[in-house]
Amino acid sequence: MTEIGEKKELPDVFIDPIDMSELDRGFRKEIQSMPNGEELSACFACSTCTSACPIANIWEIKPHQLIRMIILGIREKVLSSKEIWLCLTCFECQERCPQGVRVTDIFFDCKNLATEEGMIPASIVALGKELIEKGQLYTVTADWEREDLDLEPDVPGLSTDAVKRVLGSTRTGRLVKGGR
Amino acid sequence: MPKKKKDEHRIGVFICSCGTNIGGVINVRKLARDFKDYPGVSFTTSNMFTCSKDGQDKIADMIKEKELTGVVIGACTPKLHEQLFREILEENGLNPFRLAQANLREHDTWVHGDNPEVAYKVAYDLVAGAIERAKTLEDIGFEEYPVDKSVLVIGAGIAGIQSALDLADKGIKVYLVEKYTSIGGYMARLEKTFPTLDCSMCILSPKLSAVERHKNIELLSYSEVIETERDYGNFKVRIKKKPRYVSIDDCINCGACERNCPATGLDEWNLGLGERKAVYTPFPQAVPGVYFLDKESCTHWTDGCTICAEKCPRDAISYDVEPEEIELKVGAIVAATGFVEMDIEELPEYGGGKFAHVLTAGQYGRLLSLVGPTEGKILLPPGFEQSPKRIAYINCAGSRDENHRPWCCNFGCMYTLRHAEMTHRLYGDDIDQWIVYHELRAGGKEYEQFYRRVRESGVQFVRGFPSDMVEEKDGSISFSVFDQGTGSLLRLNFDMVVLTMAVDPSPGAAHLGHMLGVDRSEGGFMKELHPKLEPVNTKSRGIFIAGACQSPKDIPASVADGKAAASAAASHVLKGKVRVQMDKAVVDETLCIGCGLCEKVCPFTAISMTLRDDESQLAEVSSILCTGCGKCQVVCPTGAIKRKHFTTEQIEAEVLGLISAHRKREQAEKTSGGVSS
Repeated sequence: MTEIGEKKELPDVFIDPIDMSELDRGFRKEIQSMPNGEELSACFACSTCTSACPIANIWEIKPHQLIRMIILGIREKVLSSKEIWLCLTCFECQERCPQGVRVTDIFFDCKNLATEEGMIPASIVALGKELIEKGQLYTVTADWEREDLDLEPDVPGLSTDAVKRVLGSTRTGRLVKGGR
Repeated sequence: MPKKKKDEHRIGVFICSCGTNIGGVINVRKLARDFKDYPGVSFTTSNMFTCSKDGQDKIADMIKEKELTGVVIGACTPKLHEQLFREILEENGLNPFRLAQANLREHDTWVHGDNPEVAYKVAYDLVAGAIERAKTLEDIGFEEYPVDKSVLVIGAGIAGIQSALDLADKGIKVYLVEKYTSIGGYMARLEKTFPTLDCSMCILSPKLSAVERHKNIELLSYSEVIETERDYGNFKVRIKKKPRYVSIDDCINCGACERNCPATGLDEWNLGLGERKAVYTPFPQAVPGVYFLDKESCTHWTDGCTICAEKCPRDAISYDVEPEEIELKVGAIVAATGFVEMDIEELPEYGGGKFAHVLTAGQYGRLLSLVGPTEGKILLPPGFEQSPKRIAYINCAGSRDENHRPWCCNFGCMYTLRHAEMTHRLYGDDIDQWIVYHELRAGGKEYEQFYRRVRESGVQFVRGFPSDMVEEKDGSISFSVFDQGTGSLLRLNFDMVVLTMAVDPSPGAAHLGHMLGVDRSEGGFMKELHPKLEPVNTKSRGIFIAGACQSPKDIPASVADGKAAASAAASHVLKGKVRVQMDKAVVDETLCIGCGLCEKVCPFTAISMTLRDDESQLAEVSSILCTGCGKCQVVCPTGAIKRKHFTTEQIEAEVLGLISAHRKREQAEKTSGGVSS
């Protein structure tokens, strides 16, 4: 080599491909063995789920890509994705899937798995905390609205104690306390 | 009715609306009216559908009522209804060739639909031309030739076998020619068939035996057609029977020759995987079920080995056998020559011919065969010791590719699914299987359900085509593929890669097609007469095609084709005679100068030169060979040779009629500053 001898070697490709060794080929089976995963492998990548999704345009990873990633075994990326938590659970994708894949329900399974492994957004933990502490997600804050409607300030008959008691011993309770 | 003069023209003009095809663009009633006073026309009308019963009856009634001498129909292309209209003429006492059609639909209203005014003028001119042509048409007769009640079937794959069996069951004598040592074709190589996964040989071998036992079928295995010639209603065929060196009558199939044979050759039955002895049978159910000696790999002719002949207990083996030529006369021919996989070396980008662990799907199918080189185990070539851990199937290898074979191979998707399913059943999760595809075509009865079953069995589907394929040091193969499903670029590594190869017609198809006068379409597949309505007929009368020689076909389609070709060939030969219309070339002896130009240009060798009494040459036309293409008429310097029904005079009359109608209208427009005829 002459004067360009010290030039750095160019990479073979400009985008690093995902190497086969990075794929978790057991992930598909893992999801498939969960309550909603039976039809997962029937997916033929038509992407109807994505065209049905009302918010897919703001998703970086689209619904059909998540399903294909599960099948392919790109585990980390699916479970750490923000998209599974952004899902509105409107079930449009699941209703329309021509192969009966339970897309929304599979995202629930993914959320449960991600939670088990500690990959849960802080905002979701905060919601859990709210539930555990107050027994409800939305407490009455604007009393004047009830007043304007001639209603008494407290919701009659509302008791959140039972909810708090039950939730405390569920996974949500453990999650908020910081356990697994 | 008063007697009319003999040479007077009485033309009937029938204009068809063809629903809105013609009538939606031009005023057909006005067009019919405009020809009322045209010279030589004695009747005009318009119809909604001239091809309907009403339209047919109108033509029939008018021929009789007006004593028409010619019929002009302005409608669609003559390709569709010309035969029907001719029959109506004939049934009503007019010669069928007294019909002239103006193609108002394809030649006018479909083209000028956006400009009705122009369309009307063109329609008028076309009809005027047809009327002038009708005035010059002559009566043309036909000749009949006897047809033998026998059929030659070329190629004994599943299509040819089915054709032969159906024909033989109808009491027709069948000669079944197969170039290989056994009949069975590609289907005999398969272990199982999609989508039912039933054993291929179990359903095929009853048919193989039936061929062997049928008294109406004469099997000519290891034989090739070398020449065919039309002989009036029949075909003269010369067939070369290549020497098997093992007598079919004497061999008792004991296998002593094969056990002791020291010579080997590449195993063509296993598509080049491994070797076989020089004397062998390709598979247990082979028909004829006797041994066969392959001269190419045998060492008798190089070093004088005679071991097999010595070991044979029946003296069935003899090295002094010459090829034999036989001549047959048959009434029809069915070509069923099948397909081959494209040569793998044409795909170096997929390592074809370079990487040891890249196989064709045909070869992989042989690995799955219980009587194949690995007895049904999936093992890596060339040693066949280890099973692969990961297999990739690359669909459309060479297919749907403008650089290779632009057509779809039709069955590749399905047999790849079959291979994956069979492998899954044998090895479960021990082999990780990936199908790299782009569009999966599963259009057949219960094919889609099979596809879903394979998806659910855990086979990985990646939509995309591979690139950057390299062979690693350990012999495994790596490539990149952009997976459209996840939107990610993957770098994958496999122990074995199976290519779903593009398919070609059999190598002999080109030569055979030429001999039989059958056109070929893209890629060299034999061309049918009509892709929808005449799928097994060809432009050569008496020649039929079946199976994958026409286009790649799977087993159900090939069987259906074989049956269809048998039915078509049977109706041809069972009539016992073929009627030839004499709208062919004829020679005017007084004008012929014997120059021989017509003989030179005739593409069908229908013209030959004979000697007259005064020793001068005279052209002679065989009306059975002549297709009426008209080349001879064009080159003849004296006008001696005429293509009847399309003579120079008739063509000129039509063109002049067209031009004069056009001129007259232009003249009228100039003088009156306005309309139309």
